[in-house]
Amino acid sequence: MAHRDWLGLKKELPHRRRLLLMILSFLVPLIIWSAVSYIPWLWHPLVRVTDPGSVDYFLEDMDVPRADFFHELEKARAAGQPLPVGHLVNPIYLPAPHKVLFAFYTAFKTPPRLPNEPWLHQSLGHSIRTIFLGFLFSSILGLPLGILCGSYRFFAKLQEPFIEFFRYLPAPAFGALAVAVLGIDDPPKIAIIFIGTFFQQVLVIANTVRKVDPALLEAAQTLGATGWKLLWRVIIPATATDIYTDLRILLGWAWTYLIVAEVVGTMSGITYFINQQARYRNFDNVYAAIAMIGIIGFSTDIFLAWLGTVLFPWKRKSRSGSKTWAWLAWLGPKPVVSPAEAAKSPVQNKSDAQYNVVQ
Amino acid sequence: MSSSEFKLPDYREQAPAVAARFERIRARPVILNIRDLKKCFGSNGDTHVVFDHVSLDIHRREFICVIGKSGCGKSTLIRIVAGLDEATGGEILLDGHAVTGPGRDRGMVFQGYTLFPWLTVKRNVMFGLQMHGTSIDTATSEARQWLDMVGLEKFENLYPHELSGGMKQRVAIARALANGPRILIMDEPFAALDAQTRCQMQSYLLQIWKKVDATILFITHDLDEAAYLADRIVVMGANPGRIVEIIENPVPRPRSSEQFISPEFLALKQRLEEHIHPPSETQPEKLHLIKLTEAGDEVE
Repeated sequence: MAHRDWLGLKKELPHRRRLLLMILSFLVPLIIWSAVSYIPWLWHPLVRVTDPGSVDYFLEDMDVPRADFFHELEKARAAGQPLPVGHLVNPIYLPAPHKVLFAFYTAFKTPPRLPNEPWLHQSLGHSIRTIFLGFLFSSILGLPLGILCGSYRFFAKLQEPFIEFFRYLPAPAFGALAVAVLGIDDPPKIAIIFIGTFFQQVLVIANTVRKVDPALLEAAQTLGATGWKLLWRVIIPATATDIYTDLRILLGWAWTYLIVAEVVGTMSGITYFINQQARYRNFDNVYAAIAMIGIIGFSTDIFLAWLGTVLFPWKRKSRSGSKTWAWLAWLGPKPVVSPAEAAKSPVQNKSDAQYNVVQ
Repeated sequence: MSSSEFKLPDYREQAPAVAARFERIRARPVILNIRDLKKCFGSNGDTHVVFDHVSLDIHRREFICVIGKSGCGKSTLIRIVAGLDEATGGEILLDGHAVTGPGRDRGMVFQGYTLFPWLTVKRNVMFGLQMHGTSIDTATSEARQWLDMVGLEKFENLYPHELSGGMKQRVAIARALANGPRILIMDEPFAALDAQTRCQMQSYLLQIWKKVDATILFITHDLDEAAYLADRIVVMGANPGRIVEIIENPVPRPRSSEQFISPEFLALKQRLEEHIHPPSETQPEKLHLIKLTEAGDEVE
């Protein structure tokens, strides 16, 4: 099987190409950013004044629009007075990559300006804790409820209409209420993340559980499984991998609620850090902090993907195949087809053919 | 058989050994008793009768095949026997007790692959045993025995997706038998397999059946399969579904693939063909040939 074309419709790419494309997907935005930052004629709308010369309103380290600078330069030249000196720069809100990269280091090393302010790592820790608790509480309730709703019509009819209604209420709308009830510290923030996650979680998981292959249930019934055993020994394991994928996606949603949650009550965590740094106009730190959220989210997902292959060994494509990259499959597009449906598809039969040799 | 007209024997003619065998089967106790079963779909206003007046007695250790065109309700029939569907009328008795829902006394092998993908082959076979509280050790050793029986003892730690279609169905048979069912219900279990594997599986099944005290109710639409496997063949007709004939298979046991061209086999198959593909009364008119190619290269 020679893989000549990169653009085969729905064709799997070999490992090396997949890896290459993955690196490229990060590299391309970085290259564009670098180009805009380091190549002056691409953008650079401002001039950083290094010597005001004869222009009275110019100050050292002041950024002025390009046109204004050259206008003043011409004026000074015509008048024969000392010329202003400067160099082209981007606006302060777009720092160059190396500055942001450096900020990753300095942000952790620089002590906060005010004595009570948290360090960056403390801010991050705080945010992670808030997310973790919000998601944990949501899952403790949402997971069993979702499974019950997906399995029993009784619970579905009892719960889902209300949840369906409630999930349209935007979580941030409960901010003031949460503060009034739970105070100004962490509890209202956790509550916002809970509200943002929980209702979606119940519906998403119920839906996943509902897609369990009925043939598996029937098979289990003919083997003598009844009632709770059917739920515990068939429905839950049969949908476990899909539920796990749901949880991974939902955790991503929880991150989007974080920033909203953290401005509720006293601002805290990474949001506080970002706001504070923006106030000091340390935009390199702002970018570093935002990137940090991405890095934490992404690495959590990679970790969970790897954990998935450990938890669900039957999902591994094959044992002999390269195990090192098996988790990469989990990074790919999340399955739209349930495994039960996939099992019925002719593609599955194709892979059967490979094993006929064993027989 | 000297004449050019090949004359098949009557499919009801039985060799003495075969007749004696059916005599012995009839003397055995009845395990499953289907009495005047009826199944309708839809509400009282607009009902569709799937089948009606279906009665059948299955004796111990008998191999029954049910054949019929699609739509005759053969799958619905065995789903009711398995307890997965409810009958509209009539009753099913297993060892004299009415069947009300699915239970481990009726094992089932499905057409689709229904092995639990999260369990290894061995754990799949152990599933039924564990459902009614057999200890892990006992269940493990029993599962091993059954895997040995279907020739898959080497694959006990693989997951179902690592097996071929034929192997999956062998595990499914082991899983159903491990539970010690009174009757094994098989719903076109080999229909999804390729022809070669299907033949192999049929022989496997006969071998297993020889070794295991199992009564089998087997649904198929494959006439060869029915003639090769069954003691009695229940032929169902459609619209509404009903039993049109119950045929005692004249092909002697032990069966082998050489018998596929024996006179009894062919006679039986001819009879089945008559039921399933009756010669149409009106000859189709000569069809106009739709041309796909350019003019000039016509063929007859």
